[in-house]
Amino acid sequence: MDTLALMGTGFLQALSPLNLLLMAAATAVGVTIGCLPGLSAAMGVALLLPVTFGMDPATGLIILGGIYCGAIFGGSISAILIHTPGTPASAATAIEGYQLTLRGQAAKALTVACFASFCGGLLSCISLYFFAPPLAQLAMKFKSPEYFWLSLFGLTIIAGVSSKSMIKGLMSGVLGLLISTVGMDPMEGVPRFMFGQSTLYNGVDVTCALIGLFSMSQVLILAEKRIQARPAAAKFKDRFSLTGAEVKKISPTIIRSWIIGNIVGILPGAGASIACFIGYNEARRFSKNKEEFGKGSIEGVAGSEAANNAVTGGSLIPMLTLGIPGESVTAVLMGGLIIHGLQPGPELFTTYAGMTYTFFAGFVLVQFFMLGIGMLGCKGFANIARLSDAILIPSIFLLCVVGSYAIHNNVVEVAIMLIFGGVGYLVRKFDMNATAIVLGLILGPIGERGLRRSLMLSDGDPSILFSTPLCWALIALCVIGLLSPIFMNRMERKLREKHGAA
Amino acid sequence: MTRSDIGVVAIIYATCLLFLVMTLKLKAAAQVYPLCLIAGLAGLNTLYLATRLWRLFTGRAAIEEAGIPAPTPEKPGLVNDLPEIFKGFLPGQFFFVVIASVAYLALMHYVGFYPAGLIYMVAVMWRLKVPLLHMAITLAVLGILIYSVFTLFLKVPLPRGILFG
Repeated sequence: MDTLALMGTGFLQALSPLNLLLMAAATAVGVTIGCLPGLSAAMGVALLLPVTFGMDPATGLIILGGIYCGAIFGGSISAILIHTPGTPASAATAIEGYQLTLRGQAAKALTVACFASFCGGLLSCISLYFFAPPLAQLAMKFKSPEYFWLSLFGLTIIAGVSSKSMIKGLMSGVLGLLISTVGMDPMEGVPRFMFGQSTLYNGVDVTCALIGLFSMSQVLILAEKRIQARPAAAKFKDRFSLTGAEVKKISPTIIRSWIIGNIVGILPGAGASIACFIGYNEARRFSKNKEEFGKGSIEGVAGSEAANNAVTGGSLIPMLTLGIPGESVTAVLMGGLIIHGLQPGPELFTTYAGMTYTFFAGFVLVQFFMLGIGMLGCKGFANIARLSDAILIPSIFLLCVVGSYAIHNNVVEVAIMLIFGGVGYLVRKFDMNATAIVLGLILGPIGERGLRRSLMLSDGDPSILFSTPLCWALIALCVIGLLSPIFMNRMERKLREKHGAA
Repeated sequence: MTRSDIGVVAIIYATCLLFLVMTLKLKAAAQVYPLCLIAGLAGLNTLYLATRLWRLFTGRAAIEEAGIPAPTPEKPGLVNDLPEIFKGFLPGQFFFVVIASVAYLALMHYVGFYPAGLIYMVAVMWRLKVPLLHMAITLAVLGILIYSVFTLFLKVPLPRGILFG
């Protein structure tokens, strides 16, 4: 089946009433999570992973995609209305957005944020359609040695993200690899590190680990601090609309930010939090109305929001084609793929092409829901953004418990989730890297199989790992992957300092 | 070098040791891969310790981000960053939530998911001083949400407990 036919079939399947209903619900949930300061997109996706268990994989992934996009946009609501970014991806939006709110133009700021997020997200889907299939074809040439290097590459790129120390990031990744060895040895068939628990026969369940590391740890983080009332959201004095002149004014910024967001999304180690600052910076650099910046510029809001939402599609490309997530949310989404019995890589574009293109179509449609829900529900979400941590703490915990129990209807997995929650809390406190642990857990079995099969094929000769140009290309990427977060962090820090971090 | 560094290094070494002891009990062919990982983790940990010690002895341990004065070459030393890491930490509130969460799991075993959940939610929200009306709304919304998604839609047989099972 050619690509156009697959795209058409994908849209037909994505447009089923059930899918549309779930897309709307998922996007609304995502926006809600995003607008609550302290809750991240990764936490939301991890928490709601179990809800997708009984569903068709495409529908499940569409739901997770909806939460992802919704959460990235949702962060801008609290950034604009209460000057507190809901997610780090909206930090730059708070700079101009809150200034507009102070000027009595809160509705205008939200409309621009919503429109720019919609355009950024929608345009990023184009990249997904165009770049993902060729990259998947390249991945078809991979054999055991290449898969070993690929898993190592995945770890190196994530190791430096969100951790001040590269060594600590790498340690987190190796710790994840070590935890991934729990369970049955894939080659020798002997049980390893199971502590007498038959539940661990197939290894540590990735969903349990995800819920524990991202959601349960958040409960503990919220529980340690004094519960404080959030500031009241500003009253809306203007209308939710944009004039033709305003659309014309922000259009070049949106297109520029789309390109920025896409590149940042595809790049290893980068993410929406970096893209929003680059998008904002470039909007200011190219603006004809530089004097408006700092006092409430709609171009500034558009630049930041289009860039952070353009990351969503871009970041899916390496994850779906090579199995390399560039940041925490895509690592969680990859866990979602694996839970549905799908392995990221070329098979998603051959054997499971129908499912993949349905997900792509769903991802496109989610952007429309985001626009509609964002525009219609801003006032409601503004009130939700004030929800107290005192309510969130027990509510998230209960969802963590029910989610981890639902995986195999087993209380032991709830206990595992709690252990990972404790680990996640300590990891965050001591600046280790939870995403790298998850990635180690996901990539560990792929790397182990790749390495041990390669060595088996070569009678133990390690030179097989350096035998093809693709191996060398991947080794080079590993080196780049190790170095790129250093530059990315430096760039983000410089931009934050320059714009007086929101 | 900071106190948290000592904790991180000690925990990682302890993890390596635990896995090493268990690995050595496996048959020879199954030991190779875990041993490589343990060696890698221990190596990185040692490298981390070495960099920290280097900074400690050269007096270059600056923790500008935390706003803690950096030890100078004249006055090198161990920086206690724990007050900064646990700034605003409320032990009473934190441990109440942790103990309630563990107690909830035990209670779930006896009375089932929903009754245990109700008791847990009320206890934690009461401790965190949530107004009664908000408490009632939260319980209703969450109850309906979990029941409709997990019990009705996904048909997950949530624990009913020994008393009601």
